[in-house]
Formats: sequence, structure tokens, C-alpha cells
Amino acid sequence: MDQVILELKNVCKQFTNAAALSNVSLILKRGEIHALLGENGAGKTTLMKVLTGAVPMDSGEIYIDGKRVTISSPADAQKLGISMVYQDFALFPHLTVAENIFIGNKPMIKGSADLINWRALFCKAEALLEQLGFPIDPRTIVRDLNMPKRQMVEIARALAQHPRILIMDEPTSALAEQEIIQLFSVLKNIVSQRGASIIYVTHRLEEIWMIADSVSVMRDGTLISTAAVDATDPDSLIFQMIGKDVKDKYPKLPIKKGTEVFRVKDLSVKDQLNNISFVLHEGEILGIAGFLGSGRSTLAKALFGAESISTGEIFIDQQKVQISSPKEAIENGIALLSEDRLEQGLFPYMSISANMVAANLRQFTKDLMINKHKEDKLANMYIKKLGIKTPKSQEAVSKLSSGNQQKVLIAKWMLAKARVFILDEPTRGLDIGSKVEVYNLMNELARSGSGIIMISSELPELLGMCDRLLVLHKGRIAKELLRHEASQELVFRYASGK
Amino acid sequence: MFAAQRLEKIKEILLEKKQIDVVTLSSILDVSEVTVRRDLEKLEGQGFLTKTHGGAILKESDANPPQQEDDPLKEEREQIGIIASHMVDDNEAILLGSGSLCLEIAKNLKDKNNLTVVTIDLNIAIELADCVNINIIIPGGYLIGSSLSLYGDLTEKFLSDMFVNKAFIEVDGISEDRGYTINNAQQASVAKAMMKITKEVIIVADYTKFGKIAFNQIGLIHNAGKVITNDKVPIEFKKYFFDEEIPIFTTYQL
Repeated sequence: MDQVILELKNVCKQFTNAAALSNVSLILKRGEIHALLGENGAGKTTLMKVLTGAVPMDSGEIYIDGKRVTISSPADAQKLGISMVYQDFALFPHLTVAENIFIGNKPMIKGSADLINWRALFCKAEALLEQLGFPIDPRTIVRDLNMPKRQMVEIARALAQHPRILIMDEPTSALAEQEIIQLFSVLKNIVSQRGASIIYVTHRLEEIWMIADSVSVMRDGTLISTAAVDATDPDSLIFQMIGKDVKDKYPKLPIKKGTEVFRVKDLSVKDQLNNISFVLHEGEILGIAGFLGSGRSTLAKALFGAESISTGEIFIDQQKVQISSPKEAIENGIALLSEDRLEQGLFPYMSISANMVAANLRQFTKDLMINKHKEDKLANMYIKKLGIKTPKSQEAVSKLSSGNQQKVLIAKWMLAKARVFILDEPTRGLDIGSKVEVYNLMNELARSGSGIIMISSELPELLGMCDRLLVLHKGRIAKELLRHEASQELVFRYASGK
Repeated sequence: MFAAQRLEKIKEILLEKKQIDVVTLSSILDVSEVTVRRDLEKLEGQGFLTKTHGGAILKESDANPPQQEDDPLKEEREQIGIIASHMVDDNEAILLGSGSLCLEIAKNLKDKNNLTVVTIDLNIAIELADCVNINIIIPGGYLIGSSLSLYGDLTEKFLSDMFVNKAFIEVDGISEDRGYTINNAQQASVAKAMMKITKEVIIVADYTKFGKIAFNQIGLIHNAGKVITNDKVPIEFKKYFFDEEIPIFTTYQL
């Protein structure tokens, strides 16, 4: 038994909305890199949150070194030697690298409770970074670092706590190929030099053979299998990861394809997108599939003029247009519903009506004043049309449910007369009822002659709603699939570069 | 476009613009000027407009569209009809049950090609009667005078010999426990017969029918392939149908 460092037995967790866990049992051996594979919503992150004390489990047992332990807070996990490097970096951007690394246990000047021993702090940080082979000056302010370096700081911070179990959550999504190779050699060193074990959460199949010793597959909150990497192959892993295809439960309305409304030719964004070309028709829903980091969100931004492109042309109604800023995109009828509604799409503390007119102020202004009466009238019309549940048009958007916020955004773009809708993760964070509402709204947008580009990490929803799918892999279109050809398995293969 | 439709369209245009010329009308409607003139004559006969040299002007007394029956759900019903029509392809055979929603669907099928419509509702048959591109089949049977729909052994026996791609059935109640229900026992019996002879059952009901149970059950929730209703349907039902893997279509008027 001394080979086993961590054992999870029958871990259960129920949520009303998020992915739940049912009877998950997992064994992690000492000094191994154990890959945890699964699609979005399979329960990987939830399981890791249980392990780090961020989420309490409903039932189940956790053993470390054969002893039963309770993990009810992140502090418990830390004491037990469990550290996690998060997917979305959790650094303090305005602090130095060294402060970030030792955020919880900065060396203090002897006899003082609140004077930091800066020299010792930088010294320790420098030593750690050097040992890990990270070329970073510990005095640098974090916001001045690029993504890969920030991630190195994250890793250094996790390792500063001398963990025996290190959890990496999709660490390569923000990294380029060269940086991935570098990261892998760091991880292998951590295992060989420090004797730590690593749980490596990913949905990138190809990485498993590069880094892991064993692999477990999760699906729908259950652990499907665990195997040594040498004893398995991509096909059987894919088969275990994906559930049955359930395209048919999505309310996808067949709509006759109209004329070409949007075309992209040879669009590239430095280091992120390569020669993307496609056509979009009126009434069509075009899906963009691909893993995190495949360039799918960059594409959304580039089409909206929010990301500078190195080459490429965009055509609206077969006319070439210049789109180098969101303003130009809006003028050309392009709308972006961004991934992060509250941060990027809405003014949360302003009223519903003010948000609705935000992309189209000119229509509502006279002599620099906004015509409140007109604004309210239109807002009320759209509140009724889209069934937005609110007592009044002057309600702050932050008070609405996520589903209704999404509708406010759609109203905003409809008021701006958009005809090309780029929906980036349009149902993320929504409850199922609201998701169904968004799907039906997409039908109606398509029916009214708009073209829709739908980006989603939920493969079933893409397959369910789209007429056509582009599968991105490393910033290129790996494959175009028609609705009837597409299956989770096929998309998965092309997305992993097979 | 068919004559009846065209006349409606001309009325619409005139109500909006008050006056119009023949040339413009002929290009909007994509028919010859002769046809337009003939249509205008008809409408003049109805007292809707006054013909002028090269066009027509609206008779102001008729400026308000004819008063509709007092139906608060009129718009909702029309929308369901439009959504349903998207699910019908050319060359298919479909079944339309009885009721105002099925009639709304029929109104939106007129542009389909080589469509076969089996219906037990005489209103629907009449609505589609002048569409040469649609084959209409009406079974025999007893007639419910108030709704002009057919029922009884004869109707059911007639239907049992057919098979269609899709059946649109309008119901009075939808609930998790009792599934789809209909008030009238005779109509419910025909509806059950219709559900047996189709590849796919599509249930249509406005949002007020959800959570209600009518007297006669025609099928469980899973007996439907799709459900079409309005956005106002309670969100719990949107979730419920999705979880049960039955697409639920709700309409918006954008």
C-alpha cells in the first residue's frame, strides 16, 4: 500500500446546476503523473475542487498515505500537501513575482509582525525559480509578464508550499508548443527530484502520451476507467470520454439557407490563427469547435475587430469591408456576444434600457442628449418581444438572471441592426431552461435572416444547433463538417489533431 | 403566390401606404400588371379601395383592418403556425389534426411543393383547397358541426391505412404526469389513431395549456417527437422537455 499516496473512495457531490459527482473512486500512486481526461462538464474540475477543499463533498472518503483525512477547507488541503495550479490564473497582477510566490508565508523581519524581509523574500524566490529553471526575475511585477511566464509563477507558487500532490488544471491551454514542451520537462523534474505526484487534468488527448504514466477517464460525473498509458490507445479513450450523441434533443429549426452574408478569407492572427477562411449564409448557424486554446475565442474577437489581424479580408454581402475596430464591426452589422457577459458585454449597474441602446446611441441622441423617452419605448418593446423577466425597463442589468442578461445583449444587437451574430459561449453559466431559451432565440435570429457564428465548448450543443461545424486545431481549420456528418467522436478527433 | 394571398398582401400594402401604383405592385408581387389590375378590381368590388389611373387609393372608411375576433393569443397562435411550417419539407406527407393551431400551420404551408396533407378538419381542407401544389386527403366519418372536424370509427379506420412523415396534433393540456390531453373524447380518440400512423408526432399548444390536464389522455410525454409552443411557457417546462430529450420550440416575434 505504500505505493499509493492518495485514494478517493465513492466521492459524491450533488449540485443543482453544475456537474455533479457520483461514486468517484481514484487511486494516485507515489511519483506518478496521472492524467484525468474528460469533456467539459464531465466533473473533472469539481473533483479537484473537492480535493483542494474548495467544494465540500456530500459523501465519500479520502485517504492520504492510507490514513483517512478530512478536507473541509483549502487550508486543510495545503496542510496535507495538496496544491493546485488553476486554469484561470489566480495571481495578484500588481505585486512582484516573489510576493505572489510566497503570498501566504512571506519571510518577516525578526521580531516584527508586519515588516517583510524583502531581501530574504527575493532570495528565496530567486533560488526556487532557478531550481525550476524558470528565467524570471522575482522583482518583476506580474502584470508585465506574458502568459507562459505567469503560469511559471503559478507553478512556482504551488511548489513553494512543497506539495506532495500537485494538481494541474488544463495548464497548456494558454501555451504555445515550445512552451508546452518546456512545461512538461518541468513537471517531469518535479516528479523525479521532489518525489511529488501530479494529477494532470486535460481534455487534450495527445498530451497524455507525452506526459502521463496513467490515465483516468471521467464522463457525466462518474469515473469510467483507469489504465496505464502504455496499455491504452486514443480510440478507446475517445470512446470512453464521449457519451451518446444527443443532437435530437436540441430545438433546432430547419431554416432555408439564404444568400451569402459574411465571408472571411485567409484570416491570420499572429501566433494564434492561421489562414482561416469560411462563408456564412443568411439563416445559417455555423459552429466553431475546438479545445481551449485552439483559437476559437481569438477568432471571435478578430472577426469583431477586437484583435488585430496580420492578414485577411472580410466581406459583408460580398462587399469587402475594413474591420479594424469594434466600432467598424458594429457599423457593418457584426455583433459579438462575448464569453463574459458581465465583464465585456454589459454595463451591469446601468438600466436594461441603457444597455439595449448602448451599441446604437446615435439613433437615440439629439444634441448630445439621449432621448430617454424613445429609449424606454424601444426597451419596453424588446422586453416584451424577448420575454425578458423584469418589473421595469429601468431595472439594473445586474439584477437580472443570466438568461435574461443574455436576452438584453441580443436586444442590444438587434437594435443596432446586426446581421452577423458571433455568439461566444452563449449558454455558459445558464440553467437548462434558459439555455433552451437561447437556442430558440438563435432560431429566431436565423429565421429573421441573420447569420450566426456559434462558439462553444459544449460539443453536444454545437452538434445540436449548428448547420455546419468548423473544427479548429492549433489556430487552423482542421475540418469542416456538415450537420448530418458531425458526431462528437469525429469533432473530437479533428480537434485533437488526428 | 396565390390569389387569396395576393389580395391580402395588397390590402396590407395599401393599409400602410394609403395609395399605390400598378407597376410597383406588379414588381412587389411578382405578377403581371394585368393580374394586378384584376386584383384591384376585385378589391374595389369589396369596397376596400378606389381604382385610379395606373393605381389605387385606400378607401379611408376602411382604413382600419377588419376587426378580428377577440383572441388575446392571436399572435402566439400565428407564430406557432409559422414555426411548424419550417418543419415541413417538400414532397412529404403530413397529417394535420383539428383546431385553430393546425389551421394556422396550414396557412403557412401554401408555398410547399408536392405536399400531401391528410386532415380531419374541414376548415383546413378549405384553407388549402386552391393550392395546386398540395394534395389534400379527407377521411370519411361523422362531423362535429361546431368545429367542422371528423371523428368516429369510419375516420379512424380510414386513417389506419395510411402512413405519414409527421402528424401535428393540437392538445388542450400538457403535464408531466398525464402527458398530452384533450377535452373532447371523440377528438381524443381520433388523435390517438393519428399518433399510430406517423413517423413523428409534433404536439402544438399555446403556452396556457402547460400544466393543465384535460379529460382524455392521448399519449405520454415521450410519445411526442417535438413540441411547439410560445416563449411564455413556464421555464420549468423548457428544462423538463430538454432533460427528457424532446426538443421544445418556443416562438419569438423578432
